[in-house]
Amino acid sequence: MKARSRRTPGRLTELAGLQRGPRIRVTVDGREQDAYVGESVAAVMMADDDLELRSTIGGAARGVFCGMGACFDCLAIVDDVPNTRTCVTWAKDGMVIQRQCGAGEP
Amino acid sequence: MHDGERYAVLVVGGGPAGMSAAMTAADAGLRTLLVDERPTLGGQVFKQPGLGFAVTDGRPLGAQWRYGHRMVQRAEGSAVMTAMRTAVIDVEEQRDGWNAVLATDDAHTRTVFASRVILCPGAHDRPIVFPGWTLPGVITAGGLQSLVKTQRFMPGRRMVFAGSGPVALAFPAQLAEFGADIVVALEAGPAPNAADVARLAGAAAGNLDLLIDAARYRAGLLRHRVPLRYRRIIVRAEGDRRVERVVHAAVDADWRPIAGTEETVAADLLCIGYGFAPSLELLRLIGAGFDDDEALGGPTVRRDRWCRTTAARIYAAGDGTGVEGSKVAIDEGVVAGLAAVMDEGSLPEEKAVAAAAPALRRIRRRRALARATARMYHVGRGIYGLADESTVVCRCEEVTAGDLAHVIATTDDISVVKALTRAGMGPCQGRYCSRHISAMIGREHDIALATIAPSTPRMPVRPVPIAAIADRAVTDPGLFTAPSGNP
Amino acid sequence: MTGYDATLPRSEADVVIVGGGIAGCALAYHLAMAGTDVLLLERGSINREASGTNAGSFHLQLAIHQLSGKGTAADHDRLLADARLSLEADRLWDKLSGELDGDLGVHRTGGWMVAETEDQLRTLYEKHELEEQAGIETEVVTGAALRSRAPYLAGNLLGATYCPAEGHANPLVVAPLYAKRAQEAGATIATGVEVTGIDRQPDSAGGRFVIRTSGGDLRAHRVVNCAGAWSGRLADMVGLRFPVRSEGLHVNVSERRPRMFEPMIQHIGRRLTLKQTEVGTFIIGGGWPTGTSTHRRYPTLWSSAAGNLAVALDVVPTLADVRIVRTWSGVIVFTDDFSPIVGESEQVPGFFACVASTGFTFSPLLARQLAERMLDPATASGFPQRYSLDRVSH
Repeated sequence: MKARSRRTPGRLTELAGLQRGPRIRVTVDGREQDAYVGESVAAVMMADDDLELRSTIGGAARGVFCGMGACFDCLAIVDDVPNTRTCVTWAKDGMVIQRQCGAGEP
Repeated sequence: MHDGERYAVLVVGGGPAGMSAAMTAADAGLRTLLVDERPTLGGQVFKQPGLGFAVTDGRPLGAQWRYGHRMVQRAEGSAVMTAMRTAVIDVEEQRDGWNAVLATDDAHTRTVFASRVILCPGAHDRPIVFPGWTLPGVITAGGLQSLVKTQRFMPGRRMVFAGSGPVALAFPAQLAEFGADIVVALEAGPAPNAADVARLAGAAAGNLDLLIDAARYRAGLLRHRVPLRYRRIIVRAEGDRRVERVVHAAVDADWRPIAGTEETVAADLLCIGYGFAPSLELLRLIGAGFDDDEALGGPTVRRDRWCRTTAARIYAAGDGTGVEGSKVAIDEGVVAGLAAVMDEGSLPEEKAVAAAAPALRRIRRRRALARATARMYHVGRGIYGLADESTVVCRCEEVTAGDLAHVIATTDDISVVKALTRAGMGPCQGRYCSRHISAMIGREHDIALATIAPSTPRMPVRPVPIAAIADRAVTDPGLFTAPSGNP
Repeated sequence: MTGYDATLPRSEADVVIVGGGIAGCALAYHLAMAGTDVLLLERGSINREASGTNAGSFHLQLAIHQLSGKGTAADHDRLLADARLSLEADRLWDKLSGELDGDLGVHRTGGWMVAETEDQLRTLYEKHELEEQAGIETEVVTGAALRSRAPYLAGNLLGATYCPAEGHANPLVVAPLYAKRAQEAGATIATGVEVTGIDRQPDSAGGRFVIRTSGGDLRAHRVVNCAGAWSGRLADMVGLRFPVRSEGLHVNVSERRPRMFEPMIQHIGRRLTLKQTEVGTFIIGGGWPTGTSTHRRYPTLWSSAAGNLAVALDVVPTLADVRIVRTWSGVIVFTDDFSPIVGESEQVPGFFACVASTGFTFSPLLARQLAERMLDPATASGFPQRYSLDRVSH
């Protein structure tokens, strides 16, 4: 079974009363990409529909779960600091983000 | 030992309860500090757009946002001092108040003193353990709401919503407005029957707005052709490193899946909304007394009618004391704020009583509706029985239900289970697994869930970098030496 | 089970051990293996206090508190004896996982003890000399050699001793495994039972002691005090005075990180023990105090976290961005003269004790020696006079 839908995943085009913040550039896993002030690092990492933010010590895939900084599942290496909660860390111009494996290796 | 900052009142949590408590105290002339981990006031319920986003038109953001926005503006214009992106990570009782250690992002921690502390920690989604709940693409209702409402971001293409309670109607309807493709919305409880509706209406005298909301959500689902199915529960999520399929099944009255009723649907996003559980870390750390009410989210802090906890000079208000919604939270904030002002000696008792009366009256009325709703949407015990042996229960330390069962067979002490399995030792400190482990212990040893003591709370409440804690000014207590003189 | 609500499973035993920490459980194991009738009483749960709340380090290098009285010939002899005891304890740990048939998490990581000042460095050299005489392998490393062997240590440290045999075990599993094996060998373990009094009576068929507990009375021929920080209170029940006091024990635990270094790190002049565990977390302690409270068990002190971590950062600066996720606290027992209290009382025959500072490292050995002595007083060697239960007169 394959999930089919008209909708493109990621940033909504229907902004319903909001306007995105200024565009910035960040690096995710070595690739430069656009992001917007006001976005969480988690959202920036998932923009291309890759919901896997890290793999655990046991090798399992994890993504955003609680979305409020409480569950510590959406961890990534942000500006060289591993285990950073991406759902409550906000994108900044020039930020370097890496998906992490295990206890914090890239 | 504090760093020189002194307050009459420290309010923890910038949601509806915290904002109203802080404004009540500050309006009475007390030096008041309000701290919250988020970048903006409003809390989980009045989620404000991320700092950087601009509001071009308030109308599509909904009545709740507008109401919250006005409240945030009032709080910002008041005498309340605020510290955003700031967590209280430890509290220590002093003779005449409390020291609280504040952590702002990764900056060095600072310790402030407050004569009285009002805890309004709010709630988080009730964690439900089922096979596949750790897969990317499984997200809590609160988490998805944050992404959509504050960042206009929607992961995945096709979504299943699984939950129960009023949220099960409200949230998918909201998401549908944003163009979410919702394959099916599952409600574990029954469809409301005429008797329930009548009871709700009875309890709803003066709560018409809430009933109107419910009706609107239902209409929203119909408009977006979202199939809403009652008495069905999430059974598992499947997929290779992300959700690809969602399996759901019919449940009995206790929310136990009925064999042979499983259905599988293709989806890449599974949103979970089985109600909320109060955030208890700080309340537990101060040593407050607790009761347990599953309908209100599990353990609930014990309070008197002035929202005083059993710990000296500590008050608690809002969903963090038992989940009853934002309107009760606002009124509780008023009551707690007035109590702190009165207890500080800044307001005579009879004036406090008069000032609190309208809020207390509204709380009573709304509580009646909350209780009626809770009866309709009672949480079935089957919710704690969905995991199989290989299901990871402790997400942080990757401890499976099988690992836990092995140890739980030999002990009913959750501290021993923690010590021998590492479950609950990770960075989330057991927030997402301890209730499930307690339920497992309860089942194995035939003990009521409400009577199982949780493991000891530990500071820091949030992980903090070593450099942000380290303080060379603290003197080494010196070497271990024998007391002087011959022992 | 945390209340003192349990009832006694039996009303008499040959040997009653009081205290379900590592010493009590190890003693129960050795006695039961030899066929002795043993009942162990624990007022809370097994391993709930210092045996489970210490950081699990093997302390082989002499610590500063042991060295503080050095200078006289007697001190020299005592230190030499302590060092030899360390060596023997160390050898026992090597075989313990095998003997108990379980994974105790024993790891020989080696250990550094660092010096920041000239005074401290001098102490390191003296310590090294004593250890050499006792047969403990240590070396003093300074300057460029230290930088290259331990690049993670702060550049301003003057030197450090390295002891390859140091390491750690998992304190959460050791006493429980001893307890399990003891039960399998026939020992009875009763948790949730608090001893409230001990009456001596003329040696009769029923036993020399009547032990009053929260779960009822109990008769025993022999009683062993393995109550650690509470051993003074228990000794008092038979009119003995133990030179013991309790000290706080504050421990910080970090998030998991990729491996930064293997060895345990201690400080010769400041309170610090620091290590990275097999799962990648850093455990940082060193004996910083805990608070007191009527409604909470050993409340942690923020000042202890702040002070302890400042020492850690002075020694390993790269820990700066590692996050602390949890702290815990407990109490450990210290004897005023740093010698263990082990053996049988002369004043109260039939009353034994096994209590030691740095108890996690030494208790497996001392418990085994005490068991040998209890099983066969004629052939097993006695304990030094300075271990005596009667060394402090009332």
